[in-house]
Amino acid sequence: MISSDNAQTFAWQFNENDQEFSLQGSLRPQRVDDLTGCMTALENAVSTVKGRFYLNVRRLVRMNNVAFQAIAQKLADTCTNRPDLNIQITTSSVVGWSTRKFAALQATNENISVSEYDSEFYPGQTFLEEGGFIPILRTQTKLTWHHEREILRRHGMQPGLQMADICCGIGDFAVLVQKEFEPGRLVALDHSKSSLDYARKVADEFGVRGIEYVFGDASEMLLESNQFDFVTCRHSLQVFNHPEHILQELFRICKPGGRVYITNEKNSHCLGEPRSETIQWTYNEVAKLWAHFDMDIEFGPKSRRYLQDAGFDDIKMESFMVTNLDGNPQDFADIIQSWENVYAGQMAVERGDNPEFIARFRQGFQDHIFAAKHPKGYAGWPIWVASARKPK
Amino acid sequence: MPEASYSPSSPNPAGNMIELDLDVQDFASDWSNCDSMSSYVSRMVCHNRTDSLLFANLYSSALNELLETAFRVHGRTGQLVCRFRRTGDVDRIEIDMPSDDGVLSFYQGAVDLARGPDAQTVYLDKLFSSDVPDMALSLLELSVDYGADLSLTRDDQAQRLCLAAELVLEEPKP
Repeated sequence: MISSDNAQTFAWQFNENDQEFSLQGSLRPQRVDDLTGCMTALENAVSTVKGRFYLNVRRLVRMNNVAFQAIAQKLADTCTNRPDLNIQITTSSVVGWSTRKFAALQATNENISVSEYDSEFYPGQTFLEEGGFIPILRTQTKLTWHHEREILRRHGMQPGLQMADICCGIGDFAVLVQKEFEPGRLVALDHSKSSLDYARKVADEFGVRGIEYVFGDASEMLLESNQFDFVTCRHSLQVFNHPEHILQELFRICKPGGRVYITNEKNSHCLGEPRSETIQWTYNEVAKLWAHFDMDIEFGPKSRRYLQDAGFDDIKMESFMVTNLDGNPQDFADIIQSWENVYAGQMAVERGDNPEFIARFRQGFQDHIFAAKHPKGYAGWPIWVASARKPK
Repeated sequence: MPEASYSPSSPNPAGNMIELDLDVQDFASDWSNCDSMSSYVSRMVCHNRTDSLLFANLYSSALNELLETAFRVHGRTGQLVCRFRRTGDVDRIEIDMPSDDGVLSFYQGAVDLARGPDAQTVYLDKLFSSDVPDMALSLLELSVDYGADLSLTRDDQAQRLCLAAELVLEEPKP
């Protein structure tokens, strides 16, 4: 049975290629008989597999004991009748209850193991979380907010809206939105627990109340459908290897008539004078480097196509340039230095680039910093903004 | 289980967040009431928790098990009163229902098992028993998996009992 998009609906699916049976939604039957269809499908699935059988309950949001006992007994019987099978149950830390509940099966059957899906959700997560990136994100937001506080109004942001900021990172954008627009509700979701801890600490320190910081996977959110007027997702589609999955989820949680607002970059269009040629070379290489890790730092201008393909209408699009003239040029320089540290210092090294390449690669960043701090220089970082309406 | 006297809530006790009051026969006329009530209440009480979504999921799951138990085992007539309270990090759920000897005996036995030293073993035994689902399973799970502190108070004269679960669903803030 193919899933509907509503978390309150129960669904199951068997992927024969992966030998994976997935359950999702809310499963609270009154009687075991209510599960006949699902249990038959599970039984049929088990009968076709060899070796390892996967039970995926990552998106099973709710489950009562009637259902759990029925499934537990089915799996225990399977272990008895098919000692050749190894059953791997995948739970999610986002759901909260499922790992503990299914662990009971692991405790009583040596052929059943339970693992919590809490790995990296996008290819560059390790770089971004462990690359000393968090401090510099505040500076980035400070410089982009200089532009976005007005841009947001043009894209429909106004006080009192039900808003979600997906992939909120360290939550500073959410804080600025809360202060500037006073939304009726603001949910900020991210998959980095350390970033969320930081976000909560900052909000608490600055006395900002009312932001719900929640842990979750942007490509499989547990937020209910059709509940937000304005959904933002900034600088994030470009770091996912399947941005269309995220857009589907943004579409789902947005109310009909509401808007989804995304920002992304096209790093090869970063520019600077003087030393424009070395700067240009380095940022072209940045694009290739990201592509090597299945990320698309050139995503910005593609936003219109992706939004159309996701089913949105009334697409609005514009771009702006963060420059060394937006404030203190040192802020701009600090951002570029952090890029050099992560891109040249970590990602290029992991790709296996030779020292000569890395030295040339680094030089472009240093020249960009030189341009930013030069009394007659100009340095820019372009960002594309797009928003679109979910049809009514 | 220690003896306790029945002590219905005062009208506005500290920490009282929500109270639902409905006829027990109406409640027990539709199974989906359990899901609707647990979903509604969890959404209402989660907004100021550290992670509202995670808290709502856990709260809804725990409350649903209590309500499903009450759905199956309750006295025949009277009001079902559900009180939702919070003191600090402790959430207290009270299910106050009409009772009779059979109902009281069931809850007394289930709470004793859940509070007993072998709760984990009993829970696993009942989970994998091939009999019909054991109605005490939910209360055992609340104790074993959620660390719920379950208690029971009774009013023999009014033929009512109050099942209470105290839960800490969030890790302490660092």
